[in-house]
Amino acid sequence: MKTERIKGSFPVGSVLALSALVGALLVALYVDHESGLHPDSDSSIIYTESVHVAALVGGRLQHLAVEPNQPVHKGDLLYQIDPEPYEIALHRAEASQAQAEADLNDARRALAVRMAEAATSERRHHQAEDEKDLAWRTVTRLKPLAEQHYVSWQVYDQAVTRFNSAVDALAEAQHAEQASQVAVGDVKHAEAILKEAVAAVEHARYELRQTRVTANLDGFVTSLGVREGEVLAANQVLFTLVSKDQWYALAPIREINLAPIHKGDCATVYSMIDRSHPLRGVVESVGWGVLTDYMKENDRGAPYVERQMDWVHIAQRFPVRIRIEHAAENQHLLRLGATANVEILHGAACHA
Amino acid sequence: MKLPKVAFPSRDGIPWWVVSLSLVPSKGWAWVGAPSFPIVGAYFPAWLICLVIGGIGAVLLRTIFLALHVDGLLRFHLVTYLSLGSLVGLIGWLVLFGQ
Repeated sequence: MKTERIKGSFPVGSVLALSALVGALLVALYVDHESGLHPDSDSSIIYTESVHVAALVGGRLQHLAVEPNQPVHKGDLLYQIDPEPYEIALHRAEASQAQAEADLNDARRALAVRMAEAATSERRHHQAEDEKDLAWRTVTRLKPLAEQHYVSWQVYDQAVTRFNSAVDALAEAQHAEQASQVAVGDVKHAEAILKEAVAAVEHARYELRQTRVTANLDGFVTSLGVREGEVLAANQVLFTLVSKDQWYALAPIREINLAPIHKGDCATVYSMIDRSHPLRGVVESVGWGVLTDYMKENDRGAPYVERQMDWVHIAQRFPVRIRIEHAAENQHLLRLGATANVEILHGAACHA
Repeated sequence: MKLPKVAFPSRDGIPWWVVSLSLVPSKGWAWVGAPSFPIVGAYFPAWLICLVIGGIGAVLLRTIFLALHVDGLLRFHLVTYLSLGSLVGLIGWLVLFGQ
């Protein structure tokens, strides 16, 4: 090949090299600027809330109504724990309640008797007062007669003695009345015992209800690995229910790229289950904290700082929570923990 | 250099290639899908793909320039082809993933 370069002519080669270099730099700057405005992440995950399913009471797993990975609806029966012990407990509590009711009736009758006794004592008190008054009138009547010897002093002394006896009898009747008033009391004790028995019945009914475990949300059964016959402790988790009401993508975005992200921003989410299908998402929030290993809290409360210094630091990333719209139609793309690509303020789903 | 007048839906004053680039609808590149490409079970990022595109672009340009005897006009071959390759890769990025 013959190449000729004419001296003194326009330096085409140098100009081309320079323009290509400058062009490449300019486009690189533009691409960097654009990427900064549209943060993306290829290490996001598909996420949804989940519920650990457990019965509040223990016992033998009598009936398991679901299979692994099965979809369930809110209110569906998931499993049933042997209710017999709880039925027995309920019967015992009901018997205790009946006993407490009977005791309360007894106490009411005893109260009525004591009230009648108190009324009797009151009447005896009045009677004793009347007798004392009569004795006093007899004494005052006899005194002038005895002074003029119409009656013997013996008769007068007898009247005085009867009056003193009547005074003592009145004091006695007063004390008896006070005692019977105090003794009347009430049936609060029996009522309280009945309330306690009623509460025990309610608790037994509640525990019996807890032997039936139902789904509290629409979702899918995961990590179920037991069959009927398993003995479960109270609060023991049997499996996890993955909610399907609302799905999210959690996109770790570098801190330097968080600035353009706001609540309500559009996002394109690709679940790698089908990487050709863009899903439309909406930014809900940006995580307020992540655990970092640069400084660790220890038991003493003082931070542990590593005794080394890096020259180059990797940018910290914060999870951006993106709500996926129309999740129900794209259920086949949404599995908890699936890899996802997220483009915020950007991508196919944000143009539509 | 004078471009031939083409019977292409071009607007006056705008070069035909800009029009055709802008006419490529965003939906047209939707088949690209997620900016992450599975190769034997591992996901490779989009920028890696663009790096490959840039490399291939540089090699292609070199071949074309050799065939058209343009290569002889060039000086600083390394810088020129590196820059041209970068340009191809970056434009590939903008076209494929920049919408």
